Amino acid sequence: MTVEAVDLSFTYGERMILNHVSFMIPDRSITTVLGPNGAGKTTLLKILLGFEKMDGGEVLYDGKNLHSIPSKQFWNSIGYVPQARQSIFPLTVEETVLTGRTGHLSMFEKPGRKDYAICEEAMHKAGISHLKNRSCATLSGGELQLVHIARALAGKPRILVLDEPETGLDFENQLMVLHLLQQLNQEDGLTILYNTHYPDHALDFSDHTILFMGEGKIVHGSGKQVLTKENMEHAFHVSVEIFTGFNRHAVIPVGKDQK
Amino acid sequence: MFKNRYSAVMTGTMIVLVIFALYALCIGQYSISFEDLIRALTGKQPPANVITVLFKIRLPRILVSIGAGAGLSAAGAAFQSMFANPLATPDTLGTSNGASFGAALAILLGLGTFGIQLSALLAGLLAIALVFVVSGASKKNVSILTVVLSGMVISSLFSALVSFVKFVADPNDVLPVITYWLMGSFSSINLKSLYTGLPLILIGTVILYLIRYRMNVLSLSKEESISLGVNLPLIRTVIIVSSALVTASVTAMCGVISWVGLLIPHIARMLVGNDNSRVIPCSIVCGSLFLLVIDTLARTIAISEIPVSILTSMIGAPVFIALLKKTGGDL
Repeated sequence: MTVEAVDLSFTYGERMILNHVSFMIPDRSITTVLGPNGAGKTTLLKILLGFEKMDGGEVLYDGKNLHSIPSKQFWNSIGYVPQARQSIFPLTVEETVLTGRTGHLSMFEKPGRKDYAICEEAMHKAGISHLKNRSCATLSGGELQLVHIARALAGKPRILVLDEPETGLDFENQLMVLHLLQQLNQEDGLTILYNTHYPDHALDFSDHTILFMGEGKIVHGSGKQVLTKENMEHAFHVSVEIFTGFNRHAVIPVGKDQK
Repeated sequence: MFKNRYSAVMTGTMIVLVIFALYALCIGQYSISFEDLIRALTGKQPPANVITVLFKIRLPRILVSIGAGAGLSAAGAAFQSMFANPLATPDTLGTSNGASFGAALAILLGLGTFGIQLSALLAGLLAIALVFVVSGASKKNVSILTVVLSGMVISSLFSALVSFVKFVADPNDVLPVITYWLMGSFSSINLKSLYTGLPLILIGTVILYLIRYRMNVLSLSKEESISLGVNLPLIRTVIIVSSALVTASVTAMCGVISWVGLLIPHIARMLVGNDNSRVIPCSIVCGSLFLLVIDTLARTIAISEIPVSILTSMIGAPVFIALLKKTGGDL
């Protein structure tokens, strides 16, 4: 599924977040969104999902306007993974993943055998089958993130949208989440879109990057085209060095911009 | 013996409920022997006064206390999920204060039992209608906090109106009646109130039961629940209206019954976990049993009736504390 933003504009109070911005998220790509705090990364995701009203422009899914797609059909093709938060009344892992089936059930329906089987598969993919009967209240941040990804997968989406999926996780869990996203993209053909604070991840784990440059402008393209030393120094107001080795990139902020 | 803890809890509670209901039919100021009860229930001819006490007085009252316990507990569980707040009760949006005002006003105007009940029911539903108007709860993009705050405003408005009615009421005869009514009692239940009030309680409870699975998603953030495919304005409206039907008719028939809607859902969660597809049925059976026991005590332990809300608190609090200790507060 392709997602296309055409001429988007959005202001937050006096502040210009998006100024006539257009870009395309190719089908079956992994796309990352980068930018400094408060630049509008989360806002952009919310606009693309229709949670936030834009001032102008339109969002197209496979060429169709977001608002012309019936809500049920729309949400059955999208899996949304917000920043992990504990629930007030924590469910078990399996119960949580099952809630991912809600959109496929009628108002009075409970999940049936088929839904349980789909959840089993989603938990297996996310590598959390062994946690099945644990309460979500007892999970670590990394495990909870994987549970929320499995919940999104249970809805059988074609696009996965994640809000900072690796923030707050340790190295092992970060790699676990990033590898899972890659695997879902390559094996299941999911289109994946996520926000991140890590240029390294955008360079090594995504095909396509959108970088907020300030004053409502963005640049987009492949990670290597977008995440150049110059662009990042402009966007983040720091001087950076990019190191390569072991098939990985490391972007290091070396000092505050003196300008 | 049982498939899991849930079926054990449900079966056990239902058996106790049936046994206790039969027991409650027998005891009271006019006690009925077990043989007479069986004869009456199987259609054989017991003494005429047994029939009168059983079917005109005791059975309606027992059915209403069971229905009220079920409905208030289901509504409490639904509100706690919807507001993502363990302290929410069916009264949170002001329905019972609205109904109290309707009743107090009717008592002041000297209306009869049925007039009081009708006035209370209408005022309770009026309160919830006002909450919808003020908060726009049935519209898209309304935060649940706006709904709660609107409910609190409407609730305190009606609470002030109740105080006003009490203030102007004659302190010698009318005021004590209002005060006693507000403490809750099933004593004025008769066949007529059974036919008008109980169906509304049942409709509300059945709807809450049917949509119970969707409640799991409601305690998440607004965006999260929409993304999981829930029609948020619709489901909120259904829950608020169903709970209001329950609370307004319970309050109209029996006065204010506190604690049940807060306490029972928590007991249910301690017993069967947090999944609402189990919490709602478990709240329904536990709430029925709890209120039936309370009402039976209310009409049997002293010569005059004890207001229900006094007993729900006095018995509910220690039960809840014991459960908290036992589970270590691990809800």
